[in-house]
Amino acid sequence: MQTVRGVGIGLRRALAEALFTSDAPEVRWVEIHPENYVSRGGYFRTMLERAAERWPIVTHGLTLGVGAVEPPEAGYTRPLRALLHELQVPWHSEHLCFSGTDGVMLHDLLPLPFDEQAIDTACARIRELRDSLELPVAIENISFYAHLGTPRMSELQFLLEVLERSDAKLLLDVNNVYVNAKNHGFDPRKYISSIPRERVVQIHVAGHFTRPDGLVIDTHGDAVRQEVYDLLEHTLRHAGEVPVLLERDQNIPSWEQLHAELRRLDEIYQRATGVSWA
Amino acid sequence: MGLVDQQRNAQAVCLRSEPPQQALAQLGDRRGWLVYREMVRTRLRDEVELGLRRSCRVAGQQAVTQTLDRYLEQVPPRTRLFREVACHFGRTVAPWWKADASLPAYLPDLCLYEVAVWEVADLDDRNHPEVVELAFDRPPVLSPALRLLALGHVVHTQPAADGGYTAEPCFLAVHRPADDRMVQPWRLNRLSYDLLCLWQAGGVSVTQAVQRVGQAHGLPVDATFVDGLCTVLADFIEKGIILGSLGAR
Repeated sequence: MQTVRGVGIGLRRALAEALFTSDAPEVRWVEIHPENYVSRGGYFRTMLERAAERWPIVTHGLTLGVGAVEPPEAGYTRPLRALLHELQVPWHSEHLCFSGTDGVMLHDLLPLPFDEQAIDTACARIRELRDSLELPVAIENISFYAHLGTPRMSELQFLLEVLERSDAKLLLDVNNVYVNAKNHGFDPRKYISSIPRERVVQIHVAGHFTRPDGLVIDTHGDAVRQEVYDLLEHTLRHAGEVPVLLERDQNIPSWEQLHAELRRLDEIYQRATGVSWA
Repeated sequence: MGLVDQQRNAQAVCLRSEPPQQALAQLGDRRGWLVYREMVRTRLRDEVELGLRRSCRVAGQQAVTQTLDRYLEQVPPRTRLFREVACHFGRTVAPWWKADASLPAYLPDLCLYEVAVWEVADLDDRNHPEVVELAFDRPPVLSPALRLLALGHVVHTQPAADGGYTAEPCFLAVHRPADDRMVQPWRLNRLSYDLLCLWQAGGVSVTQAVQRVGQAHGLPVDATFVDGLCTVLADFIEKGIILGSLGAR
């Protein structure tokens, strides 16, 4: 089992070569989306092997949203399990969402209704996933732009109920909290302070943009905003020494720009947690 | 309304060519769900246009939009692997494009060729059976990173000045050599193509395949044929298309 500490970055093809050839001690681990590597050869396999030689790897799934009505098929979870165990990941994360129904895959993260039925469904999926992967499972809070039906509780209550009843870990996406706070009108600091710190195993930060109509969208394609850096510091002071990942999936900037963001995250990490790499 | 019906409504809003008004009303947040519709469709379209770049350019924006509308409504992707979406789309729509007289006749072949290139780039070539040196009395083992195509246009080359491709039978081995990220197309003659198809299906020795193919083409398996066969086999071995023979278990 790999130990994951400090700041990491999502391994993406567009930035892999720069990452491999850079001298960036701030990068202490990398995260991959396993769907991009399961049963795959060629360049992606080579990229993964190069990364695994150098850093601990954490996996973050995109398609096993735990709000799915149907349990995942063994035809996917079996090779997924093999990959995760090969990489010796400490946990595996998925999203608190659904990505399609009746076997269709929309390849996006859609929100669940904040109600009892969705809680029961999510808890069942989390338990099944934990059993089939034989690993701790963390769920990520998503950014959401619409309610699915009439909410019976707040997003925070919904998240806390799922965590408590399923005994899952939390991948706390700080940018998503910020985006949701802007779009749905709540205090992001109060939200984060309400989360039991022992649940949080990993943190995500990313950029977002605001549409002309005022809706804030989580893009993974923009620089991290000051407000999110500030919220990250608040989160780390609350949750303690939890590894932080910079997500950048699109509109990849120069390595120098990304490296500057990583350095800044590392400074915040050390300042907020009291950890010193020196 | 139960969870599954709510999810079906959301899915219908994202996938139907026109968002169903009743589903939108039941979801209750019209603006938000239309944002999801746009996000889902844009992501899938971007992936298709990335994987099938030349085909989409030839088809044009309007045809791609219409085809994607039909695809998402009738046969939406079911794979968890995002990289497979472009392949699924291409294989699904190539017959649609073939039936559309307003589109160039070579477009379906170009699409299937791009599907093969996109797919072979990622095929996992690590897990193949144990191989020994090639022997005529054993089934050969082919590279797992290989797709064989029988097309009606020479679409693996540069297009002609008018943007089209020559119409003639074209047999291709689309292959990625081990430890190489570059996918390469090799043009085959009909005999070589038939032999590789038999060997890829498995369970047929070199000799058995040669006899079957020779018979099918009405060719005597004589010294000239065997000489030619040896040259072809040596070439396939050098290229890494044939890895050897299936080892004894």
